[in-house]
Amino acid sequence: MTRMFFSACLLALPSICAAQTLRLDNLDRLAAKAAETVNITLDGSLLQMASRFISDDSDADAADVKKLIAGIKGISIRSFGFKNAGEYLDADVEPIRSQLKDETWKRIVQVHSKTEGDSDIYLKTVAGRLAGIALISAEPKQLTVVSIDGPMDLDGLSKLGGNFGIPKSIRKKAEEKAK
Amino acid sequence: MNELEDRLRSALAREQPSLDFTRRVLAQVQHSRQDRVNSWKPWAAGCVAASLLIGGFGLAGIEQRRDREEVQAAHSQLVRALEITSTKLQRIQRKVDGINQ
Repeated sequence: MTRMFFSACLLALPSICAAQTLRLDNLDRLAAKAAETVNITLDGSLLQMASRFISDDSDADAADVKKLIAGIKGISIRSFGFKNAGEYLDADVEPIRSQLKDETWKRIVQVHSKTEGDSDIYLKTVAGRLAGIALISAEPKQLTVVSIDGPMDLDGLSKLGGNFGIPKSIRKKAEEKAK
Repeated sequence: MNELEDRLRSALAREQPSLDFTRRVLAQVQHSRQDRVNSWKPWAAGCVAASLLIGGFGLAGIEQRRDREEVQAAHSQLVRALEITSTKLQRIQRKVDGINQ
């Protein structure tokens, strides 16, 4: 009986790990100090809706974006811009870093710069498959944390055309709709 | 004169109503009431149907508009999210390239 219980737990483990997403809520208190704040939380249903909207665009870049986000279950972003350096502490980012110490997360890039701050990219693998991406960019006056739940082609994202990697047609449409 | 008085008396004499008088009056009252009800019934039904139709269309329109706004907001957020992620990745890539050189 005990053996069966442990076997069941082991079988369920990958799905439990896959369900755990990075929690960024503790960063929200920095919004009070920040001069600029970006708070984006897109769950699976919202991504599906946005994806349907993209399908209306007929250019090749739109198809690339749609393909890129096809397997994603959620995207969370917190970005804070500060007027002066030192307005946030390493301790503010520590809860995020401690979540990334989980064995499913692996740091693939770590860049340390005295003038430009630290940048880290983590990949999450579950049962040998890419299950998430996390990015921490801790610059002196800007802190950005990105959490993507599900596989995303990083190379594909950085190769997208247009301004800042977003196809111009989609960006223009989004800006028009936002007005 | 007497003859005239007699005629008047006879004409204005109290007369008992016929036996079915009450029944006829009540039937007439009932009939007129029924007519009144029948005359406003189609109007009321029409008004209720029109109100329901307008309300239904209105609600559907509001729902549709809300859905469209949600989709647009989600799309804008997605574009912003991809933009931020892409910018950060490119910046990290540049840093890595700078270190390697």
